[in-house]
Amino acid sequence: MSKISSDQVRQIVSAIFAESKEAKRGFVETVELQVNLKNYDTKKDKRFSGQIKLSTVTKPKLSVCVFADQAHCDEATKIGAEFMDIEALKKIGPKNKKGIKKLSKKYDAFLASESILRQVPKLLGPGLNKVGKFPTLLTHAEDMATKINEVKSTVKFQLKKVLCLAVAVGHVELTEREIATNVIQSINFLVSLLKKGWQNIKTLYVKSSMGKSHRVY
Amino acid sequence: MELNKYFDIKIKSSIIHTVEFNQQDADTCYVMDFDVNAKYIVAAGSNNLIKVYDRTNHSIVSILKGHTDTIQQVRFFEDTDTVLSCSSDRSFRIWNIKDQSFKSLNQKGEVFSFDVSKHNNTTLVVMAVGSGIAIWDLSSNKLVKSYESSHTEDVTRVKFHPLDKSKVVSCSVDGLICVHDLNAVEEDDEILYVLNAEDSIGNFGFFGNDAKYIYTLSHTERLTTWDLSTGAKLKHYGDLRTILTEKYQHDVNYFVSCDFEPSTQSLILYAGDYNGGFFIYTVTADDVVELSKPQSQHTDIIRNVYWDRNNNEIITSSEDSKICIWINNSVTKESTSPSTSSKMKDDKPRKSPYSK
Repeated sequence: MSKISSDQVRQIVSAIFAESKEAKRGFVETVELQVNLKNYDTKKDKRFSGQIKLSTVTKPKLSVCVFADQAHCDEATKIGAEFMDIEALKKIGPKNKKGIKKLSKKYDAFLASESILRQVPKLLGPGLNKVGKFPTLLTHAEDMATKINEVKSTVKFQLKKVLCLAVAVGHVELTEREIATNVIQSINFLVSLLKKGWQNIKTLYVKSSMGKSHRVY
Repeated sequence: MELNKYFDIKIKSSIIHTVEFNQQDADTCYVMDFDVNAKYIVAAGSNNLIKVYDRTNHSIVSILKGHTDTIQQVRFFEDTDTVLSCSSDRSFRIWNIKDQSFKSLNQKGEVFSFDVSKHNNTTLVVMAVGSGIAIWDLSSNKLVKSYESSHTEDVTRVKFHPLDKSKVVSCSVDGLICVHDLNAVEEDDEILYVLNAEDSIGNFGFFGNDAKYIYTLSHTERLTTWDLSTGAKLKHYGDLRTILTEKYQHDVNYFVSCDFEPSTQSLILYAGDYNGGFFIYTVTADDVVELSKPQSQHTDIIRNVYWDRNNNEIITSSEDSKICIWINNSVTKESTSPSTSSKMKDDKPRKSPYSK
């Protein structure tokens, strides 16, 4: 069914890598998939937004803090993850707007043990909702390190009023194979959500932050 | 009766909800939303018109003109001749279907959803306005309350709790489902629970005894069930489209909504394929089982499903501009021959679009 071959994607990713090495930037460039749609009417067709869990970590620098119960505190200490226990959260207090703001700025994402997650609205008010960083549930059945990596490898996409959107599928320090996998995985997932499938896709481009864009489809 | 005998449904009739007859090259008119009461069906088309049909002969009773952008939701106000609607044109409108007049409550942003609650002589309507929530008193037409800090993206659906009207539940593109307490005095106490679905949520509904559970459907077609009393996630059904496609050997492309059948305590899931196929499933604690795969007359995505238990009918609306009425034979054994209806062609304009 796929309209693009993995060879083709691999070649494009190689080209992007070559360019990126030639003109080294002062930061790690992100690799982005850009999608242009057609035969799609934002006024009447269903919304097109959500999250994709990729198979490799795309945001290694994302800082994650765990609101941890006792067992999770121990696990976090063991793997060297940042965490706060319930006492630390109580210390901030729901009325302390400055403190909550500081906390929400310090980290990019939060995880929370089940017993604590339930109390987050009471403990911290709507502060984390406001900045779009409400914690994700971390159960005891899940491995904390795996879950943190999952958060770091989840990318969001959202189509608004215009027919184009972009998804960050990786960065230039991953391997070419990893990027190619992420690109193909993302494309297939997006196409599966479209009513007319590939007929809704006008063009697909892959590019690095500062590099040229390469047409995939 | 066993659940697997609950749905033996056949098409009874359909209504073609067309664009205006002189628009030769207009696109197909999607049926965006509809509602029924005892006498009428009210349907909103993607041409920003609302049409009211008679349920017995499908003739047009009224055409409500006024919205200037996508109509998101349309409902009858109880069993009256009043119709309520909300739209991306930033208005909530109250229509009288007898004389087509309306009153408009203008909002700060696009209105994606609303719900009405009548309680102690006051009628409240809660609206999803942009990324916020607004509550209006319909007797005074005044804004009572608003929540601006619960969500960071568009709120896609908002509902009063069916039994405890002091609770308002909302879901959003930001992935959160928030339970608000209308009785709270301070802003910091307004949010009782926050459920993080980690995915853009398009629809939710209550189920179970005392409506203590909710289900959510995401824009990436994921189904999740939650316990509202504790805020805990009960089950995420994974990549359900792929699972069901493989299990039943036919494409399942999207999910429409869920329903609750109290007699068997079961959650019913409506789904479809891109060619108009209609499928009914039951959702158990850890599995999803097919109940029915009726012959469909739809040819495109089914947007809404309404199970009218009083009349033993299931009504569906679709992006193919059709509203189909299905009879459920499993309960009443009337023989109904499926009537034919053909989609209106652009070159055959019809003045009063209907069919039997």
